[in-house]
Amino acid sequence: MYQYNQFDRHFVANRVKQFRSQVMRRLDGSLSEEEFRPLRLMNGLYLQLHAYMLRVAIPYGSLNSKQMHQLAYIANKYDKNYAHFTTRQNVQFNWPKLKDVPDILNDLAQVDMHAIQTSGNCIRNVTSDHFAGASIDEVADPRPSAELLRQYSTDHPQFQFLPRKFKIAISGSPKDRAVIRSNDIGLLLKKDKQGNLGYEIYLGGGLGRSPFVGKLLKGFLPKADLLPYIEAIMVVYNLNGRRDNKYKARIKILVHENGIKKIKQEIEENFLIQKKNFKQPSDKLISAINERFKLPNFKQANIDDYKTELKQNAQFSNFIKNNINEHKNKDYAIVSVSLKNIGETPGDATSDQIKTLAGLAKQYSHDELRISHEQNIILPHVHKSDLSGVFKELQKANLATNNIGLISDIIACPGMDYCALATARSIPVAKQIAKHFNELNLEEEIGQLKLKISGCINACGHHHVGHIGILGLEKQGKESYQITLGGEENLSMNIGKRAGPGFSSDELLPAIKRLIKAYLNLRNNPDESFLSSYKRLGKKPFINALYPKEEQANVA
Amino acid sequence: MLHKQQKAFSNITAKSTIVRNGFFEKAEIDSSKNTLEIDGNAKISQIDLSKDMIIIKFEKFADGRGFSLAKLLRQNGYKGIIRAKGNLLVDQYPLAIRCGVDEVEISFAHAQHQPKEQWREALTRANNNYLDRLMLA
Ligand code: SF4
Repeated sequence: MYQYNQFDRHFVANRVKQFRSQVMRRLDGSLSEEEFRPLRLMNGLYLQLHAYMLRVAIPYGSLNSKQMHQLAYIANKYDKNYAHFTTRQNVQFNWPKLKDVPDILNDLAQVDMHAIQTSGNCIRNVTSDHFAGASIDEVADPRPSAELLRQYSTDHPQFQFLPRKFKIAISGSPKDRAVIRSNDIGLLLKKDKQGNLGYEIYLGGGLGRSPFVGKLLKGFLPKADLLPYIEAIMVVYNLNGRRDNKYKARIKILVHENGIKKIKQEIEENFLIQKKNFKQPSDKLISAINERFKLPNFKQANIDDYKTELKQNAQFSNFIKNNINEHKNKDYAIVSVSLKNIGETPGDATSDQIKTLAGLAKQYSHDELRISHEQNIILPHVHKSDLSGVFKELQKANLATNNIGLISDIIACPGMDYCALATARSIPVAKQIAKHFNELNLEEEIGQLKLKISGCINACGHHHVGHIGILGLEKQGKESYQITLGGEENLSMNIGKRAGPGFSSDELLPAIKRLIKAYLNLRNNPDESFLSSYKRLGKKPFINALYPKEEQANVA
Repeated sequence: MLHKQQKAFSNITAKSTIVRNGFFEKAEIDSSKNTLEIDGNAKISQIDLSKDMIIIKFEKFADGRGFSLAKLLRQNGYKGIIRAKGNLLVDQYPLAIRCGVDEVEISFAHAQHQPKEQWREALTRANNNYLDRLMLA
């Protein structure tokens, strides 16, 4: 776990002070709303449909139990007793009052948290693998690099007023759970032939209204060159990114319009300047960062009871089957806690649930927690002998939903329920679909399936990369849901293809039912996932299921 | 010192104000100075670095190209004065300084809207930042 030092604390405290004075200047009128807007956005404060919304950074998705406790406290004191975990490893409070925000920020600062650069046209919170530092398949822990980037990008003097927001994601594993190619910059830690660590770099990925898969910018960048190379990318973007049209301002459009070759050339030219001017962080600073991400002291204990329980307790073994991933240490496990309890809002957790998770992390997970971009919470280091105890506690807190990776583990953006930009509801749609397949007891039967829902073209629900994606639009004053098929995450990222005309909110669930039924009939064997079947058979049989003959006649 | 500056400010009749080291000064026209004015579209390779002063125009405060231009000028060895002119908010002042800007020219109306106390306070935030610490620690 990265622990803040005096410098970080001083910086955050100063920002709170500064923002307090900005709020006061807004209230006394010396700042207009137009002027206040970029300043509040730099501190994570949005104006939503019904209220302000405060977005708090959880750098690279890692936090400790004390911080988690503080989130529960804030949710309880200033909000409606819950918090919402987002697809960018942030946490949002949906109902703060403007006058309270400086106090909330102050409470966050007590536990080294803040809302700096969680919005605005700057480099946002760097996201990472939610199994970082724990997973058996990682080449290296991505968090020291992410932390270096956090320090580098925080309050960077050149890059607070970019053409548009800028997202960086980093993965330390070829499994790429951070979906790096959907970011402006995607970094993959890897080793060269001599075994030296470095990065493979992707540029210009993004979802939103014009989705792009990040293109390969550099096959291998030596580790020490990271900051000057990122600086070169940022300078090229800051000077050349389009500022005439908000919808064409992301770096993906710059790359698309100029071609990766030309952009790469400009970046490499600027990199020469940066290399000459850049003073590298000292070894002392780098090793101080590394030190803070050391593996915990793993304990040794007998796991026979765990094995017995697994055989005897079906509920427990079901939970283990879906919610556990392989840990670096063979006696440990990574536990994913689903925030997709059937019938509840994806990503929401109550104060009490947050407290429970904080307690579990403290007692059983070496004081560590992670937030996943799939809006779930991870206990990264649980000894197998403790799994049964953890499971029981989760059951008591209504947190033992064993649906990780299944059809009811839906990512959904806030949509019409909160978001001012929404064209349709997404939370109720997610609840309806999850409930349906859960009641029929079909989730296990269907197996691994990523279903993602966005409430407008901005695609915060990542529908483009869902095996099944749902995009809520508005047609003649009514909600119309478009279905996309075959989207894929990870290094092999694919943008899903639009299946055909949209469905009304009444037609949507029946359409999804037909689609799933068709898949169950079409698959080779129960182990062939929806995505594999789709890849093997192509879209045709699935489209036929979505639009049966008589309806196709109607549409035509 | 403070008193003198305030007096200078009260004498301003020109339409613009210069912010220098957190103090307001009258925008003097010094014809002996060899200056060049550029905007966000400028290409660094085409800028004459022998000028005494380069003025970078900030058209809109949300347009941050001027920050990178100033920094690039410094990285290319420019030693003269860099002035940021136009729409630069007081909260952006420390950023500009850190990018190598020496002084800021704002309109008189702007100077009234964001008085000098705010600029002076903002200047204290130009030091002690992450980037300096990363590069120097
Ligand atoms: S996708 Fe649209 S509706 Fe959903 S959160 Fe993003 S902007 Fe709001």
